[in-house]
Amino acid sequence: MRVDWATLARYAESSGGLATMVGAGIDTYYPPELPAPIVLPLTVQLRGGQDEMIQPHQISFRILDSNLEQVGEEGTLGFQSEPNPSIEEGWEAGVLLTVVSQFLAEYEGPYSIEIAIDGEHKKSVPFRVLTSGEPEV
Amino acid sequence: MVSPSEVVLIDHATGTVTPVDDILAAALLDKARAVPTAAVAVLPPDEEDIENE
Repeated sequence: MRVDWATLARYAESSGGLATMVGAGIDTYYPPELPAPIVLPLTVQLRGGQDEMIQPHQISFRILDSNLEQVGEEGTLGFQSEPNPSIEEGWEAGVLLTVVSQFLAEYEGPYSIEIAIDGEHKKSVPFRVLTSGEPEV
Repeated sequence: MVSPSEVVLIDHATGTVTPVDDILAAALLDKARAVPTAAVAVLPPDEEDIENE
């Protein structure tokens, strides 16, 4: 199983195999002061063979800071997909997950969300936290 | 185990994973409880706001 793509958004939800996102691609958060709670709506598109998808899996999310130190605790959830009886031959099965991570940012700078499936690292989603009001170009 | 159709909230302070629907249900039962806003990003202030300050 692989992470085909994963993106942050200002708002995200997923239901029935479809995702609704507003402001997808956001990568910078501007809290007025630090430390500040940061909320990260993350949508993840998983792909794999149907036989693989219907097995139970564990997906975990970690926040890393600019020193690649883990911020807070890892969050892990189990999931299991229903088989798709109408999938075309040769197509991969897919699962869309929306996870809203929240953590306390104490410093400005780059961070990332690290995604692992069944203990194997799959994707890194970078973002940053700035307290200045003007976005960098 | 969660369904792929559920949105879940991960609190990295504790590693707790909670379906958002459960949080919203709890909010309906206990309106006095502080409930995290699950899907709101912090955005840069508008220029107008900065000028007003």
